[in-house]
Amino acid sequence: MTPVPSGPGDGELAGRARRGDVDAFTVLVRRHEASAIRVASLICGSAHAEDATQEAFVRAFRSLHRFDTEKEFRPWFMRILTNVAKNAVRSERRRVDVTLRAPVLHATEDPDTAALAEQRAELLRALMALPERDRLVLACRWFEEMTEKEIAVALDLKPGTVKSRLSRAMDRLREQLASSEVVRD
Amino acid sequence: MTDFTDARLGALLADVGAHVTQPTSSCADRVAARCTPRHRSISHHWLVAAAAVLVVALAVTAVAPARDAIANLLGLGNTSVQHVDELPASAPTTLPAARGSDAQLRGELRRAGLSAPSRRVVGDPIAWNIDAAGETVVVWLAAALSQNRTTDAGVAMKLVPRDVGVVATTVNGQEALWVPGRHVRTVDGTNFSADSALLWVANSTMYRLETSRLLAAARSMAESVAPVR
Repeated sequence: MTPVPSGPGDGELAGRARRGDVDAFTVLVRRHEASAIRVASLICGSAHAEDATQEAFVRAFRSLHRFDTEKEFRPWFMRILTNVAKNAVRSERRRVDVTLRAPVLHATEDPDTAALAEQRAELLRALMALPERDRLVLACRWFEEMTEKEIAVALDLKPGTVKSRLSRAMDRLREQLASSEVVRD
Repeated sequence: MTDFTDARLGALLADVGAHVTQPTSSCADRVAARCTPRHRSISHHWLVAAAAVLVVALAVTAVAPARDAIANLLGLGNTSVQHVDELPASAPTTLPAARGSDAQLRGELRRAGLSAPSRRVVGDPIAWNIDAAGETVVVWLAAALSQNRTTDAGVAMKLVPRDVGVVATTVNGQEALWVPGRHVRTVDGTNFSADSALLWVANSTMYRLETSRLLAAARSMAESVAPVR
């Protein structure tokens, strides 16, 4: 049985939004906002991720005339999001000069999964200890399961650069984890 | 820890990603509010429209057959159309999740009193579902068709900008209304934003086809699912 789409594709929605259909763009927002929050959190922290996400969507709407509806929306939007989130961090530093805070994970009420939650937190701390560009490429690959081609568009890199950056980022993450006793196989 | 494979480490990272805190509410409405252009002053249009209504109203009182024509333009079946100065806030209409093969689609459409589409609209795949209210919804890539009995309690209402004209047309010879452009559909007190819509009644069933396409394409789609007689 051929899978049937659950609704208009991103390209169709973007095309309608470009013609002024804000409701079509709203569908795109709902479809991609969770992903945007995850990535923005790694750049500017959970406290600013929501604002950065909202701002990125607004900028994307106003830039739709530059978007090729035949191409994938998600990597194009992710590029806008990363720029907005980075600018938010730069602005914050200028004002209050604080370090980037780690995103907040779900609290767990189940004691049996507390250890697992601690492992997640430890892995997140290791991730946040990496340079921003490493965090970004890892988030695109493993949080969002983007292909190397999509990551190249999202981060404005050559596909070959994505592969090598991913490899180095994973190596650096292992080094960070090697100093932790909590994360176990 | 240094001997984690990429796959193992990637799986742990994916698990972390799945647990990043998400906001409790969507930002979609706030984004939409910032993206929607401010409603222009339509006082001039209102005056023109008011004058047109006055002229037409005078004509209705004088000529009996015209009264039916006006009544039809202001509504159809269990749906009334009302012109407003400003559209109220509304929630987006979400299309149902797709399910079923083409064969299942034809079976369900037949049971709902709809004929199977004689042809697909070029480039538009078809998805379908029966929603919680038992309403059959057939979805094209650019259109959603729903149907409900005209005897159902609860009149639906369409709120249309004052300067938008509702068009009288037909679907397979049956009287129909075309509401062009974005408007608001009110059902049981809840507002939903709607795309252009084609309304028609056949066999005591009210049909609504919502689409981003123009009237000609909407009629073509609607006429491809005319009710089984």
